[in-house]
Amino acid sequence: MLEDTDNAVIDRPVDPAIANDWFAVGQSGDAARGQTLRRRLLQREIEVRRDASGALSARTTGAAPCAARDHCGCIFICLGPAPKPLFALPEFDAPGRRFVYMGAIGVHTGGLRVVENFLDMAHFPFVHSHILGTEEATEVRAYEVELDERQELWARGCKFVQPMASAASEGEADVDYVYRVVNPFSPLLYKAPAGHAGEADIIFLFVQPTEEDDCTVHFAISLVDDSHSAGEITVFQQTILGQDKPILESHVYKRLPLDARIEVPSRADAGSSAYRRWLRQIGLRWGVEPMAAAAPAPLVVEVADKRSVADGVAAFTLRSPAGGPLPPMTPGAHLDVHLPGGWIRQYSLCNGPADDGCYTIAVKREDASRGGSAAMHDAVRPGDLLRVSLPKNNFALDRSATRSLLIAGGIGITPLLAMARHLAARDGDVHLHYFCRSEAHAAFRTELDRELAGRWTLHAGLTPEATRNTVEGLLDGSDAGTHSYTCGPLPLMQLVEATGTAAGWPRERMHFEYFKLAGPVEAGGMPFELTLARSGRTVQVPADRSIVDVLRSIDVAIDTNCEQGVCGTCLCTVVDGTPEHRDQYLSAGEKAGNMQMLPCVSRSRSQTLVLDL
Amino acid sequence: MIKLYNDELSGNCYKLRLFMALIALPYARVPVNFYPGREHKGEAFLRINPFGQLPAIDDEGYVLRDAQAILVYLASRYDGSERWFPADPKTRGRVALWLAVAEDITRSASAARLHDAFAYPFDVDACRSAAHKLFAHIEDHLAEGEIEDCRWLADNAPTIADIACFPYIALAPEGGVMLDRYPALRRWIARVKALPHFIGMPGIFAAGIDPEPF
Repeated sequence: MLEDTDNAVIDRPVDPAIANDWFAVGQSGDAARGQTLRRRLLQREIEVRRDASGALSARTTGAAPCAARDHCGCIFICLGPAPKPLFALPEFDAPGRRFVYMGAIGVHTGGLRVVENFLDMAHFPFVHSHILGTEEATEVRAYEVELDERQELWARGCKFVQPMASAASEGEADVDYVYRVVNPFSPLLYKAPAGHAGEADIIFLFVQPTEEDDCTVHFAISLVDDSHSAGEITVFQQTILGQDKPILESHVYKRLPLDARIEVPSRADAGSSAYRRWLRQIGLRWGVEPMAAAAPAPLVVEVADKRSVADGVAAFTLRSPAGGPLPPMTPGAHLDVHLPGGWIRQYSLCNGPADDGCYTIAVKREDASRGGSAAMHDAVRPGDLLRVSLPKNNFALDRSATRSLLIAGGIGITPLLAMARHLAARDGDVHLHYFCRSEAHAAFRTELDRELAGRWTLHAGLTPEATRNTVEGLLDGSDAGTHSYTCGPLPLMQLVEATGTAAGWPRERMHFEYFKLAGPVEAGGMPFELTLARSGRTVQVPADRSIVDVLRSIDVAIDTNCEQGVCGTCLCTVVDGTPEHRDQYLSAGEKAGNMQMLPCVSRSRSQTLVLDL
Repeated sequence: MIKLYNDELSGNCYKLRLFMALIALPYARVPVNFYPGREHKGEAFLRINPFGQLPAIDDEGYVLRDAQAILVYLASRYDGSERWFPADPKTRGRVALWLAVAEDITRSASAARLHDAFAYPFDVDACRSAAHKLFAHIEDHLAEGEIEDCRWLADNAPTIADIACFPYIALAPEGGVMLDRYPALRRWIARVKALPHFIGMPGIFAAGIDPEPF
């Protein structure tokens, strides 16, 4: 479950894209005359009552009445003021057909995920092996998908060879499937032996979405089969759903991502592609993975070791759970670590060149933290699995440098340790100056003494005055081949920048890694017009909204992470206009060039701004 | 032939299907739909088991209920090797202990799954927290065992104790009891899945299992 959902009744309006749709909340028989049912739908508590005459009524708890109807053996609810027509299913009442309700099954994932999986055939041979497919025949043959005039999605001409297509199966058969999605949460499947469409089993998989990442599935079938008991039919279909359940529940994104950069459907997923396109067209947001939280986290690593390396600092060794190497890192790189509780934090890698089987990060417990460091210290233990990004590097070594001056303050040692170890291993001209509060606060003493003997100096417990004098000494008289790299508390970074500038260091030879903001990001500003060069679209960016925020509202996908102008994830190219830079990611030189900007915090000085998006 | 009164989604029925597969014992399934049919509370099944609980077996007229009791019976009668229910008194004592733990797992982790999947009106937070307490204990037991090269619950080889505890531990995530924090438990699950003739159930995959994935 995602942390941000709970059982509270919310007063946010129902997403307009689905407000007037009907949702199944049970079978008709669940509510006898005079009986009241309580159900949860779209994060609301609903009371459904059948009066003595058999008529249904419903209301949200403590609020307005809503529409309730019996249809096709189920109870349907519509929360909106203008309910759409209920889907038509004339076959339901055809003579010789019977209806079996196979239960309301809770599934810990978003309802859109359940529907999408239902539309997919490619998983049959693997998840439902020897029942709905075999691993010898995995190809999904081409089929037709269309959105009809009633706004129902149909997939026709789907065929699959199935060893055991239903409870009544007498062996392998070529089976015709027609999928029909009557609204985003309500799919049906017509399934018949080839050439026998009139006798199709009609399988209902009506999703009652409770939370954005949780749902109940009403599972029923209308069929022409008088030789099997309801129990036998239910066993077969429940086995199928039971096999799907762990797959559905283990999705990393429990809400459905509609951004093609997060999940890319293949040709076999024509139904899923059309379904996602349809959801984008109707502008559905509820139950959809928001772009902001969608920073890719392709790696799962196991915490192999957690140890204290200084007062209040814990180092974590992360390995591949399956063993073997991890994607390569370069010194200065960091990982985005997805923490328990939904936090995403960036930690620099401390690895030396010999550590290709692991990642090492170190985390200082920050009393004023927003929760990230406390989660790492208190909740993460050896053996835990963590989701992390691939290593990213915003603080890379300059390959043209002939001498490297590394200045670390406190926990800022982490990227500089990796740099120092790599440079020392290839016998580069490097010296690391490590400023910290006391000897007890100095981390990684063992590694420093072993790998950097003679190439590092500890400056413990210096007064601000002494620190300033030391930094002035370090930056005095550099040659053109020397580059400095600084990471640490903001006052140290500012001291190095000011001292270096005064001593004549060009900005290109001074490199800084910011973990935190220099101060609060200035919010808002003048409104301006934004044009997207690739699509030619133009939108207004009002005074109180960011570019990223406006882009999201028009469904233009953009990756973001910190949204504070620090991490550089949303970096984009300026085609025309003059940005007003408010970030700490770009260097002063890059900002002056006005070729790039971070749209999460930066705005425009000119009345119009054109970005390469 | 042995008749097994069976529901496919029941972990307690599955432990008998699994055990009979492991010892290659043929049997016939009699379907009893637990949900939504409630056939285990119906007149026909109550004649087999007046307690109205799955599973039950009928072995040529010998009727027995309760998954753990049936495991003891099947192992004692049909496992000629005696490896699944060893006769050594101390081992047998430990097996009995873990059969009791299996009941605790049913009352906690399985109850949470019944709540989440079938809307049973249980206090799910209490169920999950009880399951986590048990799992933390089992995790320690298994992790300490690994140091001594004893990789199973009651002995240094698999016994019916492992079979009795396995299903509702492996199915626990369906009840919101995640296993991320229990690496030794996850390794043990992988070992059970690697036993020769292992079969899965809806919710527990059998295919392509790496016996030592970590």
